[in-house]
Amino acid sequence: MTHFFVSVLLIVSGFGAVGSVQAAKGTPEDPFVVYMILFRGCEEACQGFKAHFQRNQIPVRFVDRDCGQDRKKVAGFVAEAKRIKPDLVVTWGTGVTLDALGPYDNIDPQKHITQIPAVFMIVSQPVEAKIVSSLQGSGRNITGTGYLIPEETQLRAAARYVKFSRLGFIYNPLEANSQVNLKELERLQGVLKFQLIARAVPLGADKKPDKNLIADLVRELSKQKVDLIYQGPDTFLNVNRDILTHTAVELKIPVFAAAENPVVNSKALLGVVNRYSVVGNFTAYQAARILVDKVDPKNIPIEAPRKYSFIINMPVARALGLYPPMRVVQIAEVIDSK
Amino acid sequence: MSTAPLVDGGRLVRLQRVLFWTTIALFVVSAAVLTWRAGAIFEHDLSPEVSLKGHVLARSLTVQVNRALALGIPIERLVGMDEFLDDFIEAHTEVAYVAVTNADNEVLYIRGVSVDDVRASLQGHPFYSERTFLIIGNASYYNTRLPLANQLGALHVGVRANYVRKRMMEIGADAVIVLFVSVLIAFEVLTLLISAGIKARINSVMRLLRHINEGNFSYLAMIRGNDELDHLAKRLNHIVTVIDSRFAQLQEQLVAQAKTLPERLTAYRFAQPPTVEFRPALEAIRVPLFLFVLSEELSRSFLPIFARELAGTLAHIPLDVVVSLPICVYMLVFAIATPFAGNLADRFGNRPIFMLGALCSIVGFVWLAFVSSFLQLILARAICAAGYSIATIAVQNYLVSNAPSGSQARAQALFVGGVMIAGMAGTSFGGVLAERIGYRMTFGVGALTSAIALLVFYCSPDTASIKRSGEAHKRRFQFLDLWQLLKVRRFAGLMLFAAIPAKILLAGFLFYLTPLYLMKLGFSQSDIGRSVMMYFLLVYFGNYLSSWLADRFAMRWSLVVAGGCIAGVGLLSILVVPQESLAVLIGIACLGLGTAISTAPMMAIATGMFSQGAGPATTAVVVAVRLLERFGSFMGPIIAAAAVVLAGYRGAIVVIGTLGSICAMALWLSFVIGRPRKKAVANL
Repeated sequence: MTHFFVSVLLIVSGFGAVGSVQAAKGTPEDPFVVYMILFRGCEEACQGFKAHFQRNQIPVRFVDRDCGQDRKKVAGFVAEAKRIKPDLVVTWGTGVTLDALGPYDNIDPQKHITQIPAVFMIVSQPVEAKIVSSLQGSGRNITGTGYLIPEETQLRAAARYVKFSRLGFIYNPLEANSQVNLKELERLQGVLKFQLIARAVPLGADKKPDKNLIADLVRELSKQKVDLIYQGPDTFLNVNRDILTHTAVELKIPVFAAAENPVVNSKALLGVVNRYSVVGNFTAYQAARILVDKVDPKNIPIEAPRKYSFIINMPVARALGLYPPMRVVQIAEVIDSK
Repeated sequence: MSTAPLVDGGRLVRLQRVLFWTTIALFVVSAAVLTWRAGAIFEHDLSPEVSLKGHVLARSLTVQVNRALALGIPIERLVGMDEFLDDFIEAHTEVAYVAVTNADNEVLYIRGVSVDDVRASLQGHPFYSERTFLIIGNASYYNTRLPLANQLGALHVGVRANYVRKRMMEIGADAVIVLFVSVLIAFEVLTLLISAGIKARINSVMRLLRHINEGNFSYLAMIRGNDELDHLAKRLNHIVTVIDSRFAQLQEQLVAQAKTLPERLTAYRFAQPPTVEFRPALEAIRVPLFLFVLSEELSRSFLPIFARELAGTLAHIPLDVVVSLPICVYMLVFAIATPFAGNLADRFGNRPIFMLGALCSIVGFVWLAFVSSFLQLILARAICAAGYSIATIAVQNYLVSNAPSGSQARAQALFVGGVMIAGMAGTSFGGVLAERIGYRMTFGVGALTSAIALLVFYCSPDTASIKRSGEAHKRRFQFLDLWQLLKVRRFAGLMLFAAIPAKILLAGFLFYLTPLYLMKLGFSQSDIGRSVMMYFLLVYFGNYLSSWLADRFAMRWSLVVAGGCIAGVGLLSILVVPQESLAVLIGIACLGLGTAISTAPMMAIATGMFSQGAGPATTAVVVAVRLLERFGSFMGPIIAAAAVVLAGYRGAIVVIGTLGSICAMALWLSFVIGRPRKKAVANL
């Protein structure tokens, strides 16, 4: 009997404790504190993240920490986060995420954030990058969002604009996600009826892919008469996107990009992507589930938003003389700086 | 005492007829004029709206083309215009063609009908105004021409001028249906007014006069209201009452004076007090019956379509089978409930049982109007089925027990006629309603109609049934009877090859396949309603043909075989008729005709088999046949749905048609083989 009363008391007091926390947090007087570790300032994804909370009138105080493309600064931010104990940490990009949260098979509680729930975004391959072991749920105190769209969806959409029977593909052989990409494209040859002409960027003397050979590969693909070049979410090629896309435009070959950067900031003709602002929005939605609905982050599957955009680089379309079909014009987001 | 009739009965009947048809004619003419006038006003208002719509469509398309031009795409190098314009034309049925011309009025892109003629016409036209009426070939169009951005060219959208006419035709068809249904309702109400209002009153006065004429002063006429005939009846009642009380006084005096009744008074009959003679007007049941069945038939032509919309994911069962479930469950509950309903009616009387049935229907329909899941749909339909079976049994019992002997056939005709007319009115009107106000609102109208049926029933004094003699109805139906009957080979053959397949065709083809298939072929809900109505129309009028044939020639078996053949082969017409929708209509027509000519002879044969000797009672045979028929109705949608899953709609119609044809052939064979045995039986 005594046991019974004790347990009832415990339960009641337990509820009381939870209740008091809920009552205290997430009000205009005492907003949630979200600590954001950013890579290159508060760009579209970060802005989209914040906009979601504003739109849904969830009171949040954001602490922005920008490493200005220098990952060495992340360690300091981690230390600060541990000190001020925010309600949530947000990390931007694969590198920042790995530095702040650690790979799942090598977590160091000294170096990494483990106690505070965390959400990552703008990570192309969370499993391959070893941030999580499965997309079904991290199993640790974090969750996050992807942003890539399945290759099949990408290519089907691309075919609405550029009909292709020969698809060129240049990739960095050292990147795990490029290998995944290659396998999937090879599989799709049979499904979508095209021939894949794939070329790995050769390694230089430093055992790293040599960016000076990218243009040669594009020329070789041109000789192979490819109709379209596919640029995957490959970090090396993203950095060297200008070499690839500019050479392609010179040779009158359209480039399809799996991420928005080559289309928005270089000369890829088209892309089927999740805009960063949409990814930020969707990540904020997951974050709100943790903060407001008290869902355990380890149970939230890692998904990409399904509101993808068809983006077209119009100056490139004009340069190639390859105009988007009317059906695509009506749905596409056009990048134009006439 | 003279026994000559006081009133010329023939004249009365003629008077009634003239009155009836004059009223109907007046109603039809006024309603037709009203419909026609409304149509004219409508056409006047609709025409400008349609050409205006052309303008709105052209504007929306111009915005889209301008978007491409604003991207710097040269107007002559727009990509994928064919598909783009085709999408647009497909989305707007009234649009006949779309064209884009350049600044020199040359047609760059054009899609739609008679492209070459339209191109030539557009290039040769000066187009002074935005909207132009163009006659191209033997068709005419409202052409809207809007300039594109920066005077790069222009966009033309052509709307068919006959689109207005076509819309008008559709609306006209709906109006004719509404008119038709109003006439049928007026017909029913008039029957009620005349039979219960006038005929019943005249009859009760006539009966009283006849009693008086025969020297019988023990009855009074029933007073139904307060009109002239009631006044007359009241006067007569008063006279009878006075005579009766005079006679009572006389008797008292005679007793006091110890005298006997004079000889000349013994032939007369007196009563103290006289009893009110009540003969219910059978026709009075028609209006509640009609309204009640109408409420059920309103949803006939769209129920599977509604079910399809609600049917979500039921694991491992194909959607087509799921969609058939509401009909199957309905038929099953209907079949199971009928014997119970009969027993209930025997125990509690027809009046409360009819009201119970109507209440069930109201509840069912209100639920249907708000149903939110497929399971709810099935449950609501089950309630409707229970209601329908209870109420119709109550009506049949009422007719059987109240019909004067010798008028049983008339009573049965009253019932069948009511059901058939309600079927015609309900399916067609239900289609129109569903098209105009939606499925759920139509269920609401069903609930309302049932409620009105209940109210009319409740308020009518004639629906109170008189106490029955009891004898004939003591014996209730038992499943043992069914077994005994089925042991008779010829009966079993008749059921297996005629009664059951007829219902499989009806429920499987007409109730399940037709709405879904016609919907898939792009027909409107009104069209589907009208198509299903055709069945009821043919059955109703075909019945006359059938009874004429059956009476004139002793060919009952042949009629049953012929009916089965017509229905089965009619469905198979889909194999040879190239236009699928036409084949479905032929199927419906053949099914209606086949049913019309075979149903009555089939029942006559079935009951006739046991009419002699100590066989089962006729009512038991009828109940057994109905039960087996309902089994067929239950099986129909299941068979059809399974066939749809395996072979598609067209294949399913072929399967059902083949089934019907084979059964008809089998019946013919068993009839030929069975014939000598018939003589043997007769000899026994």
